[in-house]
Amino acid sequence: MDRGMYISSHLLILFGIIGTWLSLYSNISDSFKELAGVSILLIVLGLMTLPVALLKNGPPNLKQLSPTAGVLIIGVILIGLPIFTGPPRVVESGRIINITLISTEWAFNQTNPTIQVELGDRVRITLINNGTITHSIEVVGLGPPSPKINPGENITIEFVATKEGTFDYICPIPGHAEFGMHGKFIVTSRTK
Amino acid sequence: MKRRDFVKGIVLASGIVGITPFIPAGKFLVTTFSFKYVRQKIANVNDIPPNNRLLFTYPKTGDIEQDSDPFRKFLLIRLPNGEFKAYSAVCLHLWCIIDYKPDKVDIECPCHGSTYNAQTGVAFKGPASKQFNKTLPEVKLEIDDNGDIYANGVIGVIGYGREGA
Amino acid sequence: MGEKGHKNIGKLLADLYNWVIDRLRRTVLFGIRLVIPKKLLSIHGFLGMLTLVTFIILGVTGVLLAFYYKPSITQAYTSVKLINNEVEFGIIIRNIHYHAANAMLILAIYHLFYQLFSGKYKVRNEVIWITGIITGVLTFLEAYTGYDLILNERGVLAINIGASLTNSVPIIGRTLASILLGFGFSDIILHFYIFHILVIPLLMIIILTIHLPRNLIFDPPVVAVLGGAILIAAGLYPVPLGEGFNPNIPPGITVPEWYITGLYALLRTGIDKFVAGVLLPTLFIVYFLLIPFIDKNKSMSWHDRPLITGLGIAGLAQIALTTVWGFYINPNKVIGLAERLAIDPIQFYIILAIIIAASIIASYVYSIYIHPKISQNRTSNKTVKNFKFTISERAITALVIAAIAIQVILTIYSINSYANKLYNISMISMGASLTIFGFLIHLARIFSAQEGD
Repeated sequence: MDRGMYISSHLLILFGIIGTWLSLYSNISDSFKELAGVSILLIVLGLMTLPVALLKNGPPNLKQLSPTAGVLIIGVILIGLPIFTGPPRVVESGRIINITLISTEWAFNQTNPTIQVELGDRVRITLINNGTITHSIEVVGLGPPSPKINPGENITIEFVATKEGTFDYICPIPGHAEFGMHGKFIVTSRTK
Repeated sequence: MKRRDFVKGIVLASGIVGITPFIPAGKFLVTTFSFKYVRQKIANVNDIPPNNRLLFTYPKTGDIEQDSDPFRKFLLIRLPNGEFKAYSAVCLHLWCIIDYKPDKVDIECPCHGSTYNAQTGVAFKGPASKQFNKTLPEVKLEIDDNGDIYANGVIGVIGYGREGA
Repeated sequence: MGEKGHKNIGKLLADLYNWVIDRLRRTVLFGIRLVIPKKLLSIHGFLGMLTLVTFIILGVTGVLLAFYYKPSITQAYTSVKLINNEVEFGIIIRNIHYHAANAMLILAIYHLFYQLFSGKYKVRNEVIWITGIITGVLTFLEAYTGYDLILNERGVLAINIGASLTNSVPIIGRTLASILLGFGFSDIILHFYIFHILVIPLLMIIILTIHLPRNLIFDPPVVAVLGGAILIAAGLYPVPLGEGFNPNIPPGITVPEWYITGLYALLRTGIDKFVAGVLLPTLFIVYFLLIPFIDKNKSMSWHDRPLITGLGIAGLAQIALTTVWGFYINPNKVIGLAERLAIDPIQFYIILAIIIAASIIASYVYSIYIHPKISQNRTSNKTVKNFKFTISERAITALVIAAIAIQVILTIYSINSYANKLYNISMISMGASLTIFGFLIHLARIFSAQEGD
């Protein structure tokens, strides 16, 4: 066993696994996804050095193999498990909720009304831009933002309310939510 | 002094004197301005009513490529009181093109909502107002007897880069 | 013709070869000797060479990209878009260039820390160490100037940060900015282009002549697997084009490339820009430059010099932590941009200080209390040294045939998926095929070594 290589290959794989986990599954920040490409390189580099580290000067004993097993188990748990234990499927309720929002500077429908839907509802939000600059709409956590639209244009986004709780609907253009373009979007449990 | 040392000293001195004219040549790198802020006619007083604005390119070269540079875009504003002001149209924060809002009599950035006082060019709202340097570079204006407005030089640094986040 | 004719041609070629080699012996080329190892070695012995290999890959792909790239405000983004979408194999060349740059930086950092912990900077290697650090900094600048060239939102964010850092330098800042950035976008893009394709690579090559050792270990299997890894990473995570910079359209929130997020995190703490963005990183680099002069201990092993080891671990941990922290943006989209990006300076710098303290303490504890005990145990039960890994001839033959068969399938698959515009799959299959090629060379090496016994 080559000690230096043994330590470094484990560290490389561990860094790579953490990076991959952050980029794929972490909800802490959207921007972590940029880490993915680098993490793959780290893991490949680690896997490339691992056999050499283990096999040099004889087959490894059980004590030497246990950190390797530990790192690999961490990897399987962090990266593999979320694939099988994804969020539970929500059956659609069959209702379609149509909402129209009119964007101006800096509010939706002047007052940012609170929107309430039930779990499993299909929501269609039509945004009409009556402002003087570009706007957009996003229900944070329930779907991607709509494309940016110019004054006078409109756009419709559609998604299914798959999670219960209180969310924000905002104009995702940086700065706009801060100036007031945000309201509450509440998903309640199904009544019937 | 030995003869040998004297010769050495002379050679050294000659070398230094010979190199001296090349030292200012370092300016070749520093003055990379591909243009200078020369006097240029922008518009006539009658082209622009009070409480309105005009986006102009300064200095204008006639080359589409060069003239499309955001750092050459300026905003000529005629305030409600008739006074003329011209600022760099590049927001101090992330280099978006700012615009004058007649209804609020201020200058706003469409990107992150930085807002500038149209009278002074100082940011008072949004990310640009949190910077150390929050004053828009201003164009020196001259108006002649015919009412022609000329730009003649810029005060401040365009594209300084944002500060903080 | 016949037997004789073949012999004559063979002799002619041999003569020509000898003639050329004889003339080349006088050149610098023969100062360097390429060593191809006969067995699998620890890659720690030639991490620098692997970095050089990625540098060469970058040079070749970079020249190819330069045939289409146009350094101008209006055409920078559209020309990269053209490379990506229209030019044949453009997307693959661009992705190899991007991921090879990532690989080069990772390998350079790996190389640096291996040399640090193994004490290779001693024994009259101080100059090689210093040139290595300088090359590392240049690699970073090369990567930075490279990813701005596309002039998308991400690139302009980086240019903006770079401009403001340069301007923030006291006294000479403005002059420096006008040298490095020029005036206006058309100058910036041209300057960055010249730095990226000419000035920095040239400096790197010049400095490498004082950095490279005389014997370069070139291990074909490892190089092949490295190439495969780059292609697989490129296929899995192809680099996006991003949105072209348009000063009239609000940009989305973007973070810089991973090698700058550490610096970005420092800047976001909101303390003085010059201190956070220029002074602290410079101190970090200067510390690394000074290591051979701080550490006068003759011993090479890392547990004999706990302070340097501790600081080394701290440096590595800080790089990892600041890099990840720089990616973090508060997900609460309702609060303002400045608040979302802000990092609490007290929390941030206290954690960095704790990392330094903890690393040094751990390092001292290990070398004073734990290491002596371990080495005592180790002397009592030495492992068998005469271990030999043998594979039967039959197994090798079977493996080789299987490997070639898989390679053929992968190659066909790759060409087919390229024709069907499935570029990701094409790149992954190319990478997998290259990786198998690496294993095959290794098998061939084992085979010939066994035959020699």
